[in-house]
Amino acid sequence: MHVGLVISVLLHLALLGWALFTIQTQQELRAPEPEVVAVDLISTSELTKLRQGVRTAKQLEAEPPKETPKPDVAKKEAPKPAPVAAAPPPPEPPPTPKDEPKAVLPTPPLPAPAVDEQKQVDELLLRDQERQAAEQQRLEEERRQAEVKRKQEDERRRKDAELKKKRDDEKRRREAEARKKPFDGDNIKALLNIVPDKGAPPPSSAPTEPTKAKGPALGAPEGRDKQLSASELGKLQGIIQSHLKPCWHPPAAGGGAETPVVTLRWRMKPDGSVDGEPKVENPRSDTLFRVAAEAALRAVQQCSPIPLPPDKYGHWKTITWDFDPRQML
Amino acid sequence: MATPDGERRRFLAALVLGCLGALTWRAPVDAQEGLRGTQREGTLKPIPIAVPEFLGEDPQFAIDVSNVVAADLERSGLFEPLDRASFIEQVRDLNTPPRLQEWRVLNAQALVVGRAGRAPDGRVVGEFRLWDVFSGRQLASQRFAVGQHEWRRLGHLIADQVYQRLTGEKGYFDTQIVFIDETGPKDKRNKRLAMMDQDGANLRLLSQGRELVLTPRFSPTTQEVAYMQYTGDQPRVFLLNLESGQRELLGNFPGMTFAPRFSPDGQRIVMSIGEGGATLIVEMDLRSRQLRRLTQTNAIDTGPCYSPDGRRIVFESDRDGTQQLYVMNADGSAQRRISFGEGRYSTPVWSPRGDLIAFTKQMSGSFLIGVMRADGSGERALTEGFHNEAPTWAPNGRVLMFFRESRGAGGGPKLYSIDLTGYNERLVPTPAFASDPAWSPLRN
Repeated sequence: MHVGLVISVLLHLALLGWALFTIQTQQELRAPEPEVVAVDLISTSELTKLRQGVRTAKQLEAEPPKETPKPDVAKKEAPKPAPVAAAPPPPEPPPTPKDEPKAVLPTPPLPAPAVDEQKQVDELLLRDQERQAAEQQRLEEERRQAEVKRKQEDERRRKDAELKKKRDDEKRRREAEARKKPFDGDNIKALLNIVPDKGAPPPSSAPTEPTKAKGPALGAPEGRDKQLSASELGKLQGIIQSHLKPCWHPPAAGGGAETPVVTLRWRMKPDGSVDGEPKVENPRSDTLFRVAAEAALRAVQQCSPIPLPPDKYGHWKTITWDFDPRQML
Repeated sequence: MATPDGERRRFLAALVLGCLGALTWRAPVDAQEGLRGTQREGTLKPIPIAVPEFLGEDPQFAIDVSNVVAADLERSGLFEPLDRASFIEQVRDLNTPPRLQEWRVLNAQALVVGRAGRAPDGRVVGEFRLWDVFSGRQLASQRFAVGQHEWRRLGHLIADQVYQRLTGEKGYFDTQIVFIDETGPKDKRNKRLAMMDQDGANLRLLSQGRELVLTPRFSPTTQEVAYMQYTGDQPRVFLLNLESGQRELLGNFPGMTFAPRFSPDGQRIVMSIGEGGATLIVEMDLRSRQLRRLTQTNAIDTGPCYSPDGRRIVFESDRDGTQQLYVMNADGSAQRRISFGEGRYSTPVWSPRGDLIAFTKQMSGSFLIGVMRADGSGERALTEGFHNEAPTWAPNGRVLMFFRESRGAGGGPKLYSIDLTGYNERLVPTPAFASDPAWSPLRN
């Protein structure tokens, strides 16, 4: 009993010791360091804007070079019409080989009747005469055939020449045409198999207000879902900032670290005037804050109306504005 | 058994539902987001304010009081009292709300209406109402009564209320200045102790000019001024009671080199005393008259000034080679240097707000008045010139007064005030040359 217990205890201890040792020395199981992948999280609207931006940017880039490298473009494009024009001829040569067999075919049947005549005449003389006559006939026939052949050949050559001339003319005409209007942007686009963009002609006005013409893909133009571009937002903010500036007298007489920042929120009427009394979004009860809030309220009320663009009313229906005088004092 | 089980199940169900609810609940999305922005630029121009003539049985008296109000606000540099000739509305009654649209047209942001007159008890009484012109709210109203000879105080008290209500800082108009009035030729100046209101009115001479007086300092708690007086070569520290006019000699201190200054509780005075080749800072208990040494080096430690909480003292010392500013605990421990810029720093004064220390700095041939934070950071100059010296704080810690000496044989010191923005510098009217100003606390 005792021996068994001792053995059991010893074995357990040994097992524990072994486990401790091996677990400690066991190499830490560690997943390989994942490669760092830089990821930018952007919203759908940002992506849309990004795409719009790229699209307009391309147009912007394409525009200025139009002036100087235009000839280059034309030169590059000009050779292209040639292959297009040269492509049709290959199908045309086949007609000529077709004509040739037609001319040659009639010849083989002719010798056959001559062989039949020889068989019919028994007499040697006659045969000889006939042979001579036949020979003559054959020669004549051959001559005739040669003549016909020559005539046909001539005809073919004439036709070939004509065809060639026609083809050359055509080629020349096309080349001339290609040369005549190499600056036609539409033609180039057509040749490049680019569907002409309806919005393409006015891009000259696009650079100043890239997103104005395009707008959002979805939603009403006055809707809240319409995103303002950064520059438009900046423009609206700039109007308010410069308009409120002369009306805002930050109260602290000399400033200090405790200068409070007041956030006001107010509704606007479509004419740019303040609708009702602005609300303090971050109220505090201390005197400094109260005074700062009142100064901000006075600025908004004194400088009403704010000359904001009416077509963007949806964006400035409500305004939330921080009044932060810390840089001033 | 069944009941607890059922309860537990119900509880678990509620818990799960609650968790699910918490997971799916989202803060209500603010549909009215609108346009956001930050206003970082405003105007440092003074606030347009309308101070029409006060009402009263004695119209001239009422007008005089309203003129004091308007002048105080204007001198602060923070307000621009509008020309009364442009006013459309005549204020006829203090108790009917003014037609604020008439004042909006003038772009006045605030309107001060008031009444002033004599009370049957011989005192003078003034009351006012402050209106926010654009919100239409009454911001403040109060009534004051003072002695007949102090009638200007009515204006100062009203101006302080207006200032405080519109800036959030305490006012400083109902205060006085003690200074050294200087007359006579430059080489033989007659220096007298003088006192006046902060706007230069009500000048009073407190000494006869037979002795040289220097560095007067207001007690923060009582109507007392401590100052130095040389009788012959003997410097003495006197305590003058402004109400009774009584002088009290605090002691003879041979070789004392710099001004005595009160502790914030008015119970002690700190000053510097020459001893051997060195100058050290000592503190005197005004009741026991006992002296206590706070510094002991071979250098010149002088110009001590308490922090408003009385726990620390700022002083100047040349122990590191040039005059620099140092801060120590009020018991003399933990002395450390706080100024590290070029030039020589002197006359440090701790702001009554505790945030800043004003000083004089001598650098490349000129003197500037500057401020730095109590830890020595954020140093900036407020004004610079041929000879600027001895800044003293207004009780609200927003305005400093100092003296500036003009060049030449006919030149001499004059008092100036400047606010912390550094933009609003004003000459303080004095009848003659003036130096060593000391600003009183607010009178109550």
